[in-house]
Amino acid sequence: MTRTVPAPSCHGDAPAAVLGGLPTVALVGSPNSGKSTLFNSLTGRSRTVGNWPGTTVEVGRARWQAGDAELELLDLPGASSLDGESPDEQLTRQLLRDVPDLQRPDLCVVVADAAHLARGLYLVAELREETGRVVVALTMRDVAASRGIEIDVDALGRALGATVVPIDPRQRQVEGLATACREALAAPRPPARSVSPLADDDEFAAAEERLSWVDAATGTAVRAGDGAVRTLSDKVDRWATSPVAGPLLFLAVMWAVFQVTTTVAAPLQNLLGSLFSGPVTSLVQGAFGLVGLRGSALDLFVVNGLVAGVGMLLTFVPLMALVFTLLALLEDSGYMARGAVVTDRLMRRIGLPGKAFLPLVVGFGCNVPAISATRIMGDARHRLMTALLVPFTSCSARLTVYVLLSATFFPDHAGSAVFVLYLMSILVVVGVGLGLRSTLWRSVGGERLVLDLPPYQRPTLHVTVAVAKMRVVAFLREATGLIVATVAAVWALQAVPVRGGASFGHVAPADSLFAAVCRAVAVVFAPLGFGDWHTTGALLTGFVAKEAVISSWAQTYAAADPTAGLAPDQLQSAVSGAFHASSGGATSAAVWAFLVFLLAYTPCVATLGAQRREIGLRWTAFSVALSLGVAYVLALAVFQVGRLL
Amino acid sequence: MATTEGLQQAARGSRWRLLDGAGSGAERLRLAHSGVRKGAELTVLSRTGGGGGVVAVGTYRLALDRAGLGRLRVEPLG
Repeated sequence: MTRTVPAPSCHGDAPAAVLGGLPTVALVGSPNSGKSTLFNSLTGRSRTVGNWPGTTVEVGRARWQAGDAELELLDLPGASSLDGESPDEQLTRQLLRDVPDLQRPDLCVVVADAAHLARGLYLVAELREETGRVVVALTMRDVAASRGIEIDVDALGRALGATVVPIDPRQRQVEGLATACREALAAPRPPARSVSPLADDDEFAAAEERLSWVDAATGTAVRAGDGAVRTLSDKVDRWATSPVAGPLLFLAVMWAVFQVTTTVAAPLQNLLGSLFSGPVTSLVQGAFGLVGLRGSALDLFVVNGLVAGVGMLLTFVPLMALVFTLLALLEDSGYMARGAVVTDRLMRRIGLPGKAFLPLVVGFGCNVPAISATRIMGDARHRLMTALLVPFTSCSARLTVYVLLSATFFPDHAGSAVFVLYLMSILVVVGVGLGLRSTLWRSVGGERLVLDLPPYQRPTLHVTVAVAKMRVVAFLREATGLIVATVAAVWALQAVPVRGGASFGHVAPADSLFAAVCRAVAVVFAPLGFGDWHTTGALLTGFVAKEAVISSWAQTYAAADPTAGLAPDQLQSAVSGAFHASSGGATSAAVWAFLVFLLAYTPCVATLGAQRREIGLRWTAFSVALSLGVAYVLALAVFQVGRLL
Repeated sequence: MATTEGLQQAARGSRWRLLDGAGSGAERLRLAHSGVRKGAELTVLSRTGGGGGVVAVGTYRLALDRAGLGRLRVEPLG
């Protein structure tokens, strides 16, 4: 049996495999109930996990070896009920209820948070209205216990008519779930629970009936603690969500992340840079010399293209690993949900609900999943507007360029400079949002904020490492995919001479077709202070992916001296000279203008692909025009004002 | 006992009983899933920017904005 489900995002999840023929088990449950953590724990795959709602917005799919049974496991988007309005909730309903009976999963594992049991069990009430098999996986028992909640698992199972299995996927304690699933799949489908007849359109009466059924089930099996008792999370939240201290804390946390990142990663970066420009380059050149190809077109491509471009990019791996680890720590701890509360007023100003903060924060890691994450919003206009704003969030690929230029031009304040760029990114999002609201979206209004605040929890090493690793791998995938293609294209264009006296592959960079194209485009950037062909070339290749900006620089400058590799300090020196020359001496103004342009213009082709899928071709084209226009105007203003200071 | 239209002015630490669900349609259902149902006891844990607040409902912790708090019809407890 083969089902059609949307393929997971290309940034972070592997492509969906075709696993037809195996019994299908669907993980369902409320947002933030721990489904994705459980999915990772059972399958060894790495879906994005975090301690805040809306982490899963597409269907994950993998093989699960459940003891001696092989099963197909689906990780469905978070849904507290089958009546939700957002696209991810609708997708869950579609896969569980709207499709013909034969195409439904053979078993639903409802992942229920023990500390918020009633919410998790509402879905059980809905599923049990039909004859499908259901197993309840009980998570967060430690949190429930800390709040004085005691659960009689057997009694709860009897009341629900489904097996209840306590698990802790964060600690990889999932024993018992495989057995429960195998037994449930081997047993005949249980009869549907009896439901009092209701008018078909009486949505509230149906909801009340389900809530009452859940109350009855929990009433016999659960001894609840005093919810009014202040927990440690409550005490922290008094400050973390307060009107004054909350935003200050948020800014301080973000500043610390980037300060630590740039300070700690710099020595490792230099070490790797020296490795690529020294021993690796010498080794490759030596190998070409041995086979008599030293100085050939292939030698130049590998040394000046792959080793210089991709090698320079790989020096940023420690930096990316560190920033991803720190952000994963914040997500796993539960702090990010507080960020949504703190920024709600800001979001509301631009006509978006506080929920829009979530995809926008994801955008600071990578714009592609952020575009997909807009699906957590129910209103189509909110989704569209957020999808247009996401490209202005400064993704991690841009961070590599920020760090390089900050270390070059502001060596004593590199961390603060990067932090300022992130603040500017937020300001651009707000500014563009206000602009859109006052023009195209005059009638749009923000949804009211209703946001669950999960308790803070101590981040676990394996969850943090898994998330950071997944993002670093996605970053490297860019380096070995789009970037290699870009490096090859740039190399090919650099190899074509546009003047006489040179042959293919033996042409000075300044006389190549690449330089000619870049020079023609560079005229446009002259008023912005960076009308240099190397810089323009970096921006053109950056349209494919921002990781390519540095590789392009490294490649064009390395080609100027084909006898040696390019150390990071040499690249910095070359870039510095180019900015100085193109700006007429107003170097700092030109650098800031370049950084602002980089911050605001189209992030990468993968983001465009995600936008096309979510908002269509016309709006994607509008987004490109919008980002290029905003980037140009802002950079122009920065340079023209900055040169006067 | 006096009823109050909304919690937008409620002090931190004050406790209330919900007399009627807030809003309509999806929002009402959403709140009901988080335990905000008729008869539920609410505690205002903290105030947030723009007049919003964090409310405890049983073991749930919900952040609501000013408008959301204002739509809860409640009576004071204790």
